[in-house]
Amino acid sequence: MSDNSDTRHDWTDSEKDTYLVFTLHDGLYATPLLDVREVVEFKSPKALPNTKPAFLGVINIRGEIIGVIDLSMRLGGPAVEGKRLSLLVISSNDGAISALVDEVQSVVQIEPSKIEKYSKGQNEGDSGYGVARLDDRLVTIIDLKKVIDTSDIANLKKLAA
Amino acid sequence: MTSSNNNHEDNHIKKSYSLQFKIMALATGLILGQGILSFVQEKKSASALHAKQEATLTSARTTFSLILSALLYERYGDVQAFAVNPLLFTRDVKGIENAFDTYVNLYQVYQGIVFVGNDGFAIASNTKGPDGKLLNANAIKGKNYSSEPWFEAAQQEKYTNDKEKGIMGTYVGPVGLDLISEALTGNQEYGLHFATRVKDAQGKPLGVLTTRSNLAWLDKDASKITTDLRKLDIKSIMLNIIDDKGTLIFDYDPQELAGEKKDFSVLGKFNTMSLNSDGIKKAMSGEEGIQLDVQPREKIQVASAFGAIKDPKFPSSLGWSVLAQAEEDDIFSSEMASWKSFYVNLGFTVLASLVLGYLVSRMISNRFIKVANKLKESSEKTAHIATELTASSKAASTAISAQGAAVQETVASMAEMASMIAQTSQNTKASMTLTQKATEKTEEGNQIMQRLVGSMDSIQQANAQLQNIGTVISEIATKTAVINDIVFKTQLLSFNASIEAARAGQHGRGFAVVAAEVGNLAQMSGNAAKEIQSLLDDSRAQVQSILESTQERVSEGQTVSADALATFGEIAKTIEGISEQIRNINEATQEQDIGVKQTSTAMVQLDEYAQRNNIVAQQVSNSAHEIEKEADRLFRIMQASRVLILGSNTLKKNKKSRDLVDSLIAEDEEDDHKPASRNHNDNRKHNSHSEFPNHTNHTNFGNQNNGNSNSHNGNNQIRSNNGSNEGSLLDKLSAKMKHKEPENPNESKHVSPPIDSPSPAQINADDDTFRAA
Repeated sequence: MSDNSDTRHDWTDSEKDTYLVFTLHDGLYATPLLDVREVVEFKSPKALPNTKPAFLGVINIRGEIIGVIDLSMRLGGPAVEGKRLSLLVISSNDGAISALVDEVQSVVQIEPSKIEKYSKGQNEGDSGYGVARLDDRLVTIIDLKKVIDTSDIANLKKLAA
Repeated sequence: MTSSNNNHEDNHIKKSYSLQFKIMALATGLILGQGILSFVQEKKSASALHAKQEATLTSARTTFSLILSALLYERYGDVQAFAVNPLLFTRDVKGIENAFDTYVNLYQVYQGIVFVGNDGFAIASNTKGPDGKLLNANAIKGKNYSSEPWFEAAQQEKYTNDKEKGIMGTYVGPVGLDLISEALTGNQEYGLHFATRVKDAQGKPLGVLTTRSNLAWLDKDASKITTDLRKLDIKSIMLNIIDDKGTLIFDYDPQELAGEKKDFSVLGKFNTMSLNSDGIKKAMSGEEGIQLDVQPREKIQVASAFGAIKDPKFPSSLGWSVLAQAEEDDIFSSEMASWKSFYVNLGFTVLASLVLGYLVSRMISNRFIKVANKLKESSEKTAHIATELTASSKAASTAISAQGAAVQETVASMAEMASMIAQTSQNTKASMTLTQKATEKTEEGNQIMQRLVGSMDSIQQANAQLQNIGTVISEIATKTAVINDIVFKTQLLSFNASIEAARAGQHGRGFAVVAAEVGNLAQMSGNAAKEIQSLLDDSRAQVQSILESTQERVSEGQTVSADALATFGEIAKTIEGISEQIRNINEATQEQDIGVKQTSTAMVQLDEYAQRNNIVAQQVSNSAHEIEKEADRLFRIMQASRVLILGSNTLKKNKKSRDLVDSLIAEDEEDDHKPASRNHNDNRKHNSHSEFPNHTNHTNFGNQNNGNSNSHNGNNQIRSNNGSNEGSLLDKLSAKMKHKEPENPNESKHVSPPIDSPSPAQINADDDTFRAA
């Protein structure tokens, strides 16, 4: 609670500094709030053949076919598991796709100064671009659009077409 | 049966035979008498039969003799009748021959009729035989017969006459082979001939006429007679004729020669005198009769009815005799058969009677032997029992004394017992009080336990309510889950609102705050819900554990209290049982008390009876002696019976065994006079009873008069009561025998003392002779 009261003051600075915090297993992750189109409750996806293991299948959200990717698996970890699984829907030029996470925790404001961008310039297309200190815990800030291979979306489109 | 063996025995003593011998002797005597009687009868009837057969034979002889005489008389007359035929005077040969042929044909008995002139030359003869066959008449014609006996006798008129009977004028030649007939027929002819002198009307002799005849004319009648006799079952009947010289001239034997056949080797040649037959001699001397004799031709033994022919028409000078004979076996066959059957019957009857007699007598004898043996066994047993009885009565007496002492000890014991029973009674009462208390305590315990069980039930009910709380908690948990769901969805909505607000940029900032607040509230709700959840889980777990433990304890408590209740019930029952027992003991003790009192009374009575018993035991002892005496007598009776059954020779050692029976009878008679004096002795003995030890208060018990014969025995009795004298019985018996001696001096040698008189070996020896007999 105290965390939330702290971030409230910084809210007006910039929408860009607003992050959505979620968990993958024990790990705490954050992604820019504006990258996320919406958050929906997890539904069992319909599996598709000849796809990567992290690609769990497709779901129907209000008539739109959206692919589901297990984010934990995508980052090289085990498959997500939890009682409050949520899907983060992302929009791109190629279309929408969703990332499956364990639990969405909160919406926070993190000042860019507090983010250590240790991977900048080292490798283009790098998934994570920083680690921030949130209270006593470390939060890994990832760029979902980069993490999720856009080819996946393209493939999905082909399939849908 | 073996009586001869015992002849050397004393002659003064009558020998005695065994029963079987007597019966057998009686049976044999009866059978012998019966046999003699029936023999006499048989003899009578047999001789009657014999006489009848003889009469039949004799009548055959006389009949034959009569017929022979009649027929011979005819032949005798025939020749004289032929001789007066006038043709003979004419010397017309042809005519004479015709006449002769006519005669031969008419009479059928003549083979030849010859007329011989005075010179002895044959003038004429018949030319045909009786059967009409032509004969060789020429063989005769012209032959000279002047030297023939018949010619000479006829010429000299030396006829075979019997002037007394008026038989005269014909010469009868001897029977034998007839040469004239033989010459005529050409066959050997046998027969007799007749001759008479032929005279003319003036009485001038012209020659001699002879007729030749075989004896075939006799055969017909002989056949008739024999046939009749054969019908009377005299099959071997034969008729014979012998002439004055004893020569057999006629023989008719239908059995041997089949009727008319003749045995010419015998006839006319055989002189019966050579047989030296008594019957034939008698016949020739003019007698007649019947006797056993020899048959002339076959020389076999026959019954012969003989007799000279003396019939009125028979010339006695011929001297012929007739024999009617039959084989002895044949004529007397029925008589013999009668005898034979008589002997067979007699033999069978005798044999059957003897066997039956033997068996019956043996059976009877065996029965008696068995009875005697039983008697012997019985006497031995009785003697043995008597001895035992004496010993027993002694023992009884001793036992009764001991019993008296025992009774007094028992009375003392009874008193002690009574005091002990009183003590027992007191103790029992104390026990009863204690048990009463125990019962009360048990009842209390039981009630407490009942209450405990009731408490347990209440706990059980509370538990059930506790279970309901668990259910409520579960329901709350379900609701909490719904809240959680709502919180989750609210959070999602707040995130989406935040996203939308961020996108709205400057305009959405206010909304972003609201969205954040909503998110925070949702977060808080979620946390609260989580806390509630964990609290509920804890509560549920606790309720569960409480439930389980309570359940366990309560059920355990219920089991234990039920057990305790049951145990208390058992204790109560046991105590009830104990008090019941104690009550019983109390009752029993009271009864015992009564029993002991009664027993004490009975003991006093017992003491009295014991004293009486002692007296009775003495009486028994006396009776035993008497039985012993009777056993001795029984043994002697048995021996006497053996003598009666087996005879005296079976008791070799006791030679005057016969005396045994006599003496026994004598003794019996003597005993009949005794009883009066015996009673007197009993009374004397009676007085000695007061001397018995240990029995001071007994009185007389009625009948004590049986048994003892003298005071001697009474003394023995007392000694035996003291248990000091085992041999009193023997003493008494030998004393009695000595006592008897002067009364019966003759008997004393043979009747030894009863106990050792029949040594077992001797008895066995007697048994052996028994079986041998």
